[in-house]
Amino acid sequence: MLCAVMTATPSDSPNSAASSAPSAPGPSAPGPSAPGEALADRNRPPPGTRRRLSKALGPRRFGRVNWLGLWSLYLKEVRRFMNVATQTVAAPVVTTLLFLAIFTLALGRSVETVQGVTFSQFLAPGLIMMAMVQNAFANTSSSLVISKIQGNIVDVLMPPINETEFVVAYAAAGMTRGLVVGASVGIVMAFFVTVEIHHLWAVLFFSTAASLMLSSIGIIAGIWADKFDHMAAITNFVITPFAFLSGTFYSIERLPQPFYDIAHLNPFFYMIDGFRYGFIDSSDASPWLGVAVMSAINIALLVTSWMLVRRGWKLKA
Amino acid sequence: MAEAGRPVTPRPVSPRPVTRRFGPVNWLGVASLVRREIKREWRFFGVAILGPALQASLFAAVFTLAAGEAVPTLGGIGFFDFLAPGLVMAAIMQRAFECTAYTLMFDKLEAAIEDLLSAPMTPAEILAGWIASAFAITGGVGLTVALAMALFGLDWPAHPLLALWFVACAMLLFAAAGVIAAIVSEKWDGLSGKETFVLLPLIFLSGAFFPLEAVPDGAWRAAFQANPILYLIDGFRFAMIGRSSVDPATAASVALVAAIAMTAAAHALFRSGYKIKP
Repeated sequence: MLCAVMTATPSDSPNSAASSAPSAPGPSAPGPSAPGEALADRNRPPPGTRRRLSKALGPRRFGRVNWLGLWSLYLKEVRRFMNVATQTVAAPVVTTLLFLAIFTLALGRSVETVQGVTFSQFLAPGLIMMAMVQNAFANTSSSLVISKIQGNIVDVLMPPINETEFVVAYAAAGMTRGLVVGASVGIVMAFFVTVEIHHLWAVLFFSTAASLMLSSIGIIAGIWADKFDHMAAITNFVITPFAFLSGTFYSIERLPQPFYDIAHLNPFFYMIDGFRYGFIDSSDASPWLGVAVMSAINIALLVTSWMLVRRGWKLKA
Repeated sequence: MAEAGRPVTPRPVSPRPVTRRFGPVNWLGVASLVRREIKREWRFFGVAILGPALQASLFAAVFTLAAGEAVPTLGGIGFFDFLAPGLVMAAIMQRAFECTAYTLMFDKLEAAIEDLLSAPMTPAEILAGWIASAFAITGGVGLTVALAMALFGLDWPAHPLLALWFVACAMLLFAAAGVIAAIVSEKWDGLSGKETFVLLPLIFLSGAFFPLEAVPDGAWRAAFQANPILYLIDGFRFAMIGRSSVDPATAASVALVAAIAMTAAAHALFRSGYKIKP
């Protein structure tokens, strides 16, 4: 089925798109049409004809899932950040190490233990998690906003990639960035701090779930934002405060009463707490509760972004 | 960024150059440049002015929560009193750098720098315009951050004039550094690389957040002491709370010398036309 897609020459698509625009019911054979007409039709699809559009395109020449399209989009997104790995991987590593340095230097001598481990051992998992969530979010959101502003989002919307494949490819690429950054930060940090893994499953589950969650939030934010300013505002006023105030740097036991209860409603708290449980074998909340919360939120976010892409909100004219 | 789509219309060039019809300094030119830069920044008001204040508040909150009861003092100074001046200064430094660097980088890449270069202004006047606008914008940032810190309990400065001295030196130093970084960088990647790998480590590891005594004695501490930003921040801390680990007179002179040297370097580099003029 992959061959079928590859043999479809690019010149096929404008013609089939054109034939679909007149609301011909049923799968009609793509008739020949002038290229100019094809372009004009592509620019203004008649409202409410989405379902018919895909039918009129003729049967998909691959199975239920366009694996090649999915894989290509995923690869495009991964290469997008790997091309500038200095900015997307090395920079978070340096920033995170700086955080480790200033917090350890400022507090390390006085705050001896937190939850039974040294302060830097307590801090390290939180910092790794902070780097992961910020980068997973940045990957999908910046990619979508840049594509929208530069107008090359049509290159992703035009090919026979449906909303599921779209969301899966973007979310997986954002997740990949989160995990790559997390692994790099963790490896470099291990040179400075004792990093022991007690529960590998928790480390793997919470890093994956957190990256996936933030990359889905990034999809939604990227679809919503019209300008870079909007993106900067979300990063500054939403993502960073959540990443900072959810127990990265302190045990939430320190919080005074109303805030202690509020902290338990914050999903970022569960991801950091669960991830830290994998490293230091001690947590504020039950890690199983964390697993449940993270799974539920991930499903909800993925479904939301799937529905937004399907509706084409702020993506399609 | 928002101007990306607008084509740059070349201005008509007068057929033959005329002599300057104003005094030794083109005041109108400098004032126009400053006005343009401030207008440009004003559109990003929320992110540009409120962002740093929020970030400093976050830092203050997490540091205080992480320290809890265990850290009553840092370097013999109350924990928050120690931290707050550092946060204000770090925000000022970062914004001063970004003000000039982003402006110049954007103009350079969009070729809008031609407008400025062909105006009857000397390199010193252009540089003065950039730095003056950085002063105005960063002043606003510093004020909002200081107000946010005041909500957490930062007091009125012990030596207000000395505080202004250090703030002015920091702005000059970092605005000039921003000009140099933007001139040298080819692309945005290069500029943000310099910010992440040079500027941020220098600011973070300068005593903004921890006392020098926390650094292990020996080579490490000597390296930290060689960082001029340490003197800016510690001097400012002295001006704010009346106590610090470095001698205020030394700090004030180091700050001035560093700021003037950096400005002179920026002027020489900009004047030479390196990577800006064909």
